[in-house]
Amino acid sequence: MRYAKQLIALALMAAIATPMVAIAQEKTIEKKVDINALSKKLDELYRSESSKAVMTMQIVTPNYERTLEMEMTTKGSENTLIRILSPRKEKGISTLKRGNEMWNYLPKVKKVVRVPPSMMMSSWMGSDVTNDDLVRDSSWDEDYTVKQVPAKAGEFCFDYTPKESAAVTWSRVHTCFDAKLELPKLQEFYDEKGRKVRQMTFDRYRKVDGRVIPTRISVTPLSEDKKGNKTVMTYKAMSFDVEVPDETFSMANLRRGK
Amino acid sequence: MWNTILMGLRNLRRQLGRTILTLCALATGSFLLVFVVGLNEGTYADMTEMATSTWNGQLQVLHADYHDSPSMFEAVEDPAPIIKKLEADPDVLGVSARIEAAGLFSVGNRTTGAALTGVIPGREEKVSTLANTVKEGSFLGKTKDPDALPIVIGDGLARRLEVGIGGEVIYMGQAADGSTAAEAFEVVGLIDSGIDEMDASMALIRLKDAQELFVLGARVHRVVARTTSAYTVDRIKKRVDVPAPLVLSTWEELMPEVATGIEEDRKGGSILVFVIMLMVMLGTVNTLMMSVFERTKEFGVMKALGTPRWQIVSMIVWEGVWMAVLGVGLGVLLAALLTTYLHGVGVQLSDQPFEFGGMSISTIHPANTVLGTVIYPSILVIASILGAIWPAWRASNLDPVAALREL
Repeated sequence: MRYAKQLIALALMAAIATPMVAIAQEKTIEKKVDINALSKKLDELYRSESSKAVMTMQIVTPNYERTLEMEMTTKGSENTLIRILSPRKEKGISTLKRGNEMWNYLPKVKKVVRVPPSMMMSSWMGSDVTNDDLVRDSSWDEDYTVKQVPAKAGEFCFDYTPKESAAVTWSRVHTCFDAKLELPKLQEFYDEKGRKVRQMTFDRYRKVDGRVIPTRISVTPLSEDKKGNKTVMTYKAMSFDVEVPDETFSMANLRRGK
Repeated sequence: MWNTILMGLRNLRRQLGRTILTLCALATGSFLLVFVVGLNEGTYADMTEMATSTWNGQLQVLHADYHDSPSMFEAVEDPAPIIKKLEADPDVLGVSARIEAAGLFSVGNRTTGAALTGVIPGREEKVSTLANTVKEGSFLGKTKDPDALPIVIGDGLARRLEVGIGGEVIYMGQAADGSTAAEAFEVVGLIDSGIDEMDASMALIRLKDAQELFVLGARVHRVVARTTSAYTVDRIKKRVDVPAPLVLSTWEELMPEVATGIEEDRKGGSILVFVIMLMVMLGTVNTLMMSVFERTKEFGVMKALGTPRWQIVSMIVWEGVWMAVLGVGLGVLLAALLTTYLHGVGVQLSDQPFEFGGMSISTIHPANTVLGTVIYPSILVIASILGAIWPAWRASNLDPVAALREL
């Protein structure tokens, strides 16, 4: 019942918007879209052969607000290492993803905790970002079937539906790209019941180390129990295709904590 | 007046065989009634006791929003005065406080999610029976490593993590300030509560360790109290008040499914109660009807001699009163004695213990209650007396000439 009103509103909006969509569609379809290329781009937006980034993660909830500063190193799509730089209390907490496995290092107790695959969709360090978002276990290009859907002028929009084999809990991810930049603008995540539960917006497109990327990602959960929550990730520095030794992603290095 | 009352009693002796049969029927009926209700009420009490004493307690003080959506932040800011207040109540046997959280537990390469509860050793044992089901080790006692923090885990969780007494468990979760809560604990005890779901997913640490780990200061999530009985909670609730936004919740509010389950069952049982009552009442009416028909000429003579109508009515009604009181009294007495005896020794359901909310009940203790042993039998007596009015009215309405002609 709670959703009845929203449904009616949506239906009304759809009715009003139909002619506009039709016009928009005519325009956008003109330009041929390479769906696979865009999906690959989404997969490798902040990655390359290797990458190093420093970013901040601002976590806002009704009960507290805090900002983590962290460093993220990647190599290929298999290896990711994240280290928290500040605040002091959490400095050194690290996340390592290698292949299908993921671990957290807790400097306070000097121990490594394995993150089971079932936790990939759980929150990372209490943020609205999941483990999967950060270490990107699933691939937009390989784990989803993609369908183009009508969009506003200047945008391409797609519905990503996970393939059965993919370990993803979303039922659908609506993704819109900026047509000119061919970069993501918006992602809307739907749960298995078809409810929109999370929204991710991309902005502050900047040229960083030779590439234009959205340097800010804002994640807003839409479920009732997460009302007022928001996580904003901002890239402060980024370099692509730098020398990263394989040893970076070893357990020994994870345990080193810095 | 006394004459009429005694005459009612004397008249019962005239057909002694029939009177005894009717008395037996009344006694059997009321015996059944009291015993069945006693059995049911006893089972309800056992179920309630089990549901409350295992873990939840009979009373809790918590933040008004915590019950519906438990969150780290909906806490009892200052539990000390509330604990003191509850402890001072004569119907409260024990009070403790808890912190509740969830998170990842890890041993070596094994990680699993489970609930972490901070409890007060020494107090917790007086509140929940679960704390007394440590099958190995101690309840948050001494650790081997003097610097380690103790943890007690369910034996199911221990199996999942492949850890035993003395083993190290790493906990990772989130603190109240949003930061990562991480701590290493040494397993000092294993719990086997008999409730598999709990044993597979619960871990207990000391409240002060939990307060530090989760940056909660003096805050707790629940103040839990054990009371003299599940039925004294409303009394306590009236005596103890807690400041908003806190609420004092009884087990009926905390576990509405238990309370409504019992209420539903009681409603179902009341149909049986009604049927028994109806049968007993019809028995009385039937006997009185027969005796009135037999004595038509007697009433004819009485009327011819000018006996007032009210006297005839009251004479027969008193017959009914004597019969009901004697019959029902006998039945209630026997049933109450049996119930009292069984309450002490318990009825073993050795063949089929029945499951209730994850707990299996194998022994029930029938109980005498005001409802089953006093109110229902009283209704029975009143109903029988009301039933006697009709034959009495008929007898008093006889036309003396017609009645005498039956001679």
